[in-house]
Amino acid sequence: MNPSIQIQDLVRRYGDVEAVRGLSLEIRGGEIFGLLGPNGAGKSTTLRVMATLIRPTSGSVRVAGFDVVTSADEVRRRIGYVPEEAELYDALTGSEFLELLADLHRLDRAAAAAKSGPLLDTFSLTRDIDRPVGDYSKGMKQKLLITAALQHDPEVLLLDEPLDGLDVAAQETLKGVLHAHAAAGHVVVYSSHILEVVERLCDRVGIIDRGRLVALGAPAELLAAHPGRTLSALFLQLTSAGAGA
Amino acid sequence: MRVGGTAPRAGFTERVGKLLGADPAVFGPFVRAYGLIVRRQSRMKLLRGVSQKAMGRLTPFHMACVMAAFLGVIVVVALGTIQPPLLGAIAAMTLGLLIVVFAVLFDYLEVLANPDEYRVIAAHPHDAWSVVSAKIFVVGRAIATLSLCYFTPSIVAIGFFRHSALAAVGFALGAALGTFSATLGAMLLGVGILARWGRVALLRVLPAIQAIFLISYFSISMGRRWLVAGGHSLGAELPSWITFLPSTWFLAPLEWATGTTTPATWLRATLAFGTVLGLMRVGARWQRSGFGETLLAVGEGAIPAARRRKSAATGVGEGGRAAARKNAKPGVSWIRDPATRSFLSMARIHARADLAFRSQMIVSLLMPAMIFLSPSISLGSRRQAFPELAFIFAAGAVGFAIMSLTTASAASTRPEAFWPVLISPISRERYSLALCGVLRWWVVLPVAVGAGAWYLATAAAVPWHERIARAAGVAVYLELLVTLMRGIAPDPPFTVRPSRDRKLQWGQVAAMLIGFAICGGGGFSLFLVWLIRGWGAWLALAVLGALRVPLEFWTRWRVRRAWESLEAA
Repeated sequence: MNPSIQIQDLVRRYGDVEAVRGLSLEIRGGEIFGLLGPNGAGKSTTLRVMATLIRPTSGSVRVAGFDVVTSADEVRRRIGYVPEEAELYDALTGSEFLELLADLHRLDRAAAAAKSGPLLDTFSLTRDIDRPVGDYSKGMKQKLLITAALQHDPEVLLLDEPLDGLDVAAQETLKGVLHAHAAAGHVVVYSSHILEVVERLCDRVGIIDRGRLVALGAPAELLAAHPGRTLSALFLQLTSAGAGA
Repeated sequence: MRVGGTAPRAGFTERVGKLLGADPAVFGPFVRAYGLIVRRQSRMKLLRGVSQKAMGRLTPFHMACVMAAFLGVIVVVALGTIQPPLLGAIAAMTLGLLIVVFAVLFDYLEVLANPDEYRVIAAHPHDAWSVVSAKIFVVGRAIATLSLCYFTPSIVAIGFFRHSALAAVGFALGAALGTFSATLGAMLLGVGILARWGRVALLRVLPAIQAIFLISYFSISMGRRWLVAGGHSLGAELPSWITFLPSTWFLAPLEWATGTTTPATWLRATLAFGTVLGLMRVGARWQRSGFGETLLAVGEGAIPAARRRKSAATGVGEGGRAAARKNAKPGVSWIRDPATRSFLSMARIHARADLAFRSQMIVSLLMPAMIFLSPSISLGSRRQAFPELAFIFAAGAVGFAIMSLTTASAASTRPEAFWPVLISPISRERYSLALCGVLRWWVVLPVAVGAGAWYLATAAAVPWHERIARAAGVAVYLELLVTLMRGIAPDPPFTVRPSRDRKLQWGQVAAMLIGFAICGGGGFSLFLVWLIRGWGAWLALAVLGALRVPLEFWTRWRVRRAWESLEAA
């Protein structure tokens, strides 16, 4: 099976700061991939490149078979993205926001409603969907963003710290939704620093530190390669987060 | 929910999109979304705090149109009374174009260039030019509607009452050209600043534009009186310097239509067309140079998000912290108090980063100046009891400043950033009362000393002891007003969102009544100080001073209650 995401020698600089340094990675369809790393490791930057928000400084990134620079619009049709910070148009209602994004994906309104309706029900957001987004709590905004990212059934779902602001019930719901999405043959890339969630949820994880990939594999494989260690201990050993510990 | 509702209407919007070279599949949805945003948001000052319930089905945009029409009707009076007639038209045009610039920069710039927007739409199919076209179309449509509301009364007045139908057409043409230029100019200015120097730079520029707006507004309303007071003779000819005022450039069609052309008319017409062509050329060049991408990604600069993120959600980064450290230096004992220092830090942070607060400050400082200047200049030109009345006007102006600064200090566009003060061990009562100290030392004292000294020196007809009693009476009255206003508006500083829908409560009504009673008592005493001749003025002054004691108790009680309400909320 061709990989859904191919990253080759990705470098991304912000002025003098090199956020990602020569990252190479392949992610296959049907898997939930966890991107782990301490704060400032380059996880969000990598996701933002994959989501076509920013261009790579050098290297290449292909998502769903398309280059993120030369075929950005093709990539955008095939991805769903939940950013780390919930940025929304505060003056629009939740339903108007979903409609805007559905229109951009050229979705039939009925089809969009059929997809988003159950998700809104699952997240208990249906009752508030006609309220202005500016009145939403952080958790409600996050639920709306997740619904918006899933309503066009994307081939690749990119999630940057998606559990932030979600209550326990919503977290469990999201995990179920992600499993179902991957089971349908799609890719889920999940960036987080919550090790327990990544360990239980992800088929494979990549640990990034200071912009470089320092470990890659299934959680069980990584632990087997370092006997006697927990994922937390392994994480601290491999990354700069453990330097001061 | 309406997710499965009807699709947006194509037709006209689609045709406009195609005309602009946009992708209809992107242009249409964004026109609809931005249209909703424009209808629902308005920062126009008079609309703040008006609840949606009170407005019924009227949106803030409808209210803005009503206000524009109201101002348009007021301007008709100027058109009908000011001589020479062209000066009235200049007043109407100037105010109209200022309203346009103000609306673009204050109400619609967040639609035109929203630094957070890219993160919302970047990962979805779009092309930048289609999104930007939708922004320009929606904002242009809103401005055209506002402009129509404002200029229609003037056009009707010129056509039916003042001149002729041809003159009305001439004025309408000028207004259309002026609106187009002002809209395009304001868009390019705002977006250019945002794209080149960022949001902080724009937030620093906007209050200055607001100040220019206010000064211009008062200059228009008082202009003729000031010109006359300054010794200018206003006959049929306008002063030559008026050509420097851009709004006059767009009145050339009116001058032609009314047969009042002068050599300067041609110069003004050339400047008008040059402005239109120049702005269009700049706009076209920006569009060709990938302006759409720049505008959309305006918040996505070269700095990582983590570095751009501002501290404590207040909108202030390292500079603010440095300022706070600088503020920690010991000063006079009042400023050394931690509560006062916290208040000053919050004030400094908001002055740097909070547009609403800065706007309020500008209004609070400019309005008193206008209150003082207008009648003073007028009276000064007639030499009517000038020292006496100017002193009273100065006191009135400062009183207005005290009232509006007290109200403004409660506002913050991000009151949630107040939590560091809430969890700190400072005295909350002293934090609230720090405002009184600031007003006492930095507003009342300089004014009382300066204006008092001037009054003592110039009111030669009044005996010395009476002059001193009156000057002291004004100072004591202003000091009472500082305490009184804190009691009437006791919300802790920087804790109230300006647009929050707040219901008037019985407690507030009672507080206002008590406040007015005390204010009335104080005002009556001041009146006595002023009127009672001889040593009785000192007795009245003593009464005025005695009011300070119960007022202080009442204000502190109000402040404590306000804190209790905030903590209970």
